[in-house]
Amino acid sequence: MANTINLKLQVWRQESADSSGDFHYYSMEDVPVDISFLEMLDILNENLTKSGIVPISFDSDCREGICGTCGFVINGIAHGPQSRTTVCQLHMRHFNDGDTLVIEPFRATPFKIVKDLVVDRGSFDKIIQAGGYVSINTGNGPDANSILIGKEDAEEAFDSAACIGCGACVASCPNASAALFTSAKISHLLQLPQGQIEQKARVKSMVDKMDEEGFGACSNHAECEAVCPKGISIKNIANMRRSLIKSIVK
Amino acid sequence: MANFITISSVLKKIIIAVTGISLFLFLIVHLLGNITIFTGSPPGRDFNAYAHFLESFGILFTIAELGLLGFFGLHITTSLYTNLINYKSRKSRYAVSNFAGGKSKKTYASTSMVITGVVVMAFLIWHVLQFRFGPYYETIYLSVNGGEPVRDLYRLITEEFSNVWVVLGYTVALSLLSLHLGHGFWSSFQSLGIYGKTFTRVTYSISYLLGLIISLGFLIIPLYIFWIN
Repeated sequence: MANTINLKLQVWRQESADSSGDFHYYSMEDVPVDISFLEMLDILNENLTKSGIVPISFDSDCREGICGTCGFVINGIAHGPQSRTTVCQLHMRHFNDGDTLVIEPFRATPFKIVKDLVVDRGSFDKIIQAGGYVSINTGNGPDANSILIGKEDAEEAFDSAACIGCGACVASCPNASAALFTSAKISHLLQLPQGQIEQKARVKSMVDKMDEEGFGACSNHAECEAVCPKGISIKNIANMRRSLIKSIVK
Repeated sequence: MANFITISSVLKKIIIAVTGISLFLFLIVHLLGNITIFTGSPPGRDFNAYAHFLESFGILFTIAELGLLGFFGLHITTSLYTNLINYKSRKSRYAVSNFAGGKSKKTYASTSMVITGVVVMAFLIWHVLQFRFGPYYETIYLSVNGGEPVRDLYRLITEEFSNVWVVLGYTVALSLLSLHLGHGFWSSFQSLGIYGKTFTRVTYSISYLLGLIISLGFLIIPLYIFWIN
């Protein structure tokens, strides 16, 4: 039983946001199948450093699939071929000996490439700043259970809140739309009593910010849901649209 | 309408969905009307009578035609504009693109809506010039229009669909229309925020089938006419 594989990597290298990038080709031999994709890149980077080549830059933090820091595109699929998995939790056992893997950064005009596979996802922060919060008067923390929420509502809201903001939805969308990310936050707050008060202003403001940042329009390809490490449903996008219609009609 | 350009992408998609669904309904009415081609004796009597019946509404018919033109115009301009924005939102393209599978509803049809749409638009211009504004033949049926002459559209379609290139052109355009409707039908509801676990599953699973049925329904006519000649 072979527990190592050989790979050919085609990695996007780009010096900075302003420089033009291109693909570099690397061969990896005897990659243990039990390591993660990022650990495989760590090994490659060590080898590159030893040969005096600048290592490949990529983002990562928790490496356990919950922080949303890592992410790039492997063979045209954001976070790679395994569903509901971030690249840090994607293991090499899902690849075959001799595979050629094309590794590209998340591409979207609002996501400026910082270096190699690192992109600036600051646009997401701006969308959240536009209304992805609940205003409260400062003071003591409210009592737990002072507002009762039904089990099903709580579950639905939590499903929407599971978004880790990694940007795979934008990266995988043929239109580079941020509809799934934006709608997940809108929908999360929409389903809780605390979020109702500012809902009208929130949906309008967040949608406008999303457009202003230069994201595309959602054409319902649902590719975002398929690549989302948290399985956020396009139901959220429908919720956002309904909420926007309501904010105009009523 | 003054701030058409500035309305949000979500509202633009809602315009595309409302006009899209309306045009879808128009296609069904158009298809049902076409059934008259196969009925009546002598051949074409029912079809010409149906066309005459529509024209007899006079000003109302003109208003309906202009309304239809307006829906097409709104659907096309909004879609093209949205497409331009979408194109700009990813200036550097991927070297490799793929289909994630699973829950994804991304298909060759869904990613080529603008291409199929533009081809269908070109086809429609041709189709309208060919028939609505085509050669004017007249015929007389004793039981239609009180025995006065009516337009003989049946003769025109018989002539047009005897040409193999015309039939081929229709086949290509209608095949692309089937793909356009295939993604368009279920997608319209999603764009309007109408989502339900069962509802979306059902509309999605019948969407491409409906597109195919409608296209085949239309395609039968040129093929049938070509065949009997």
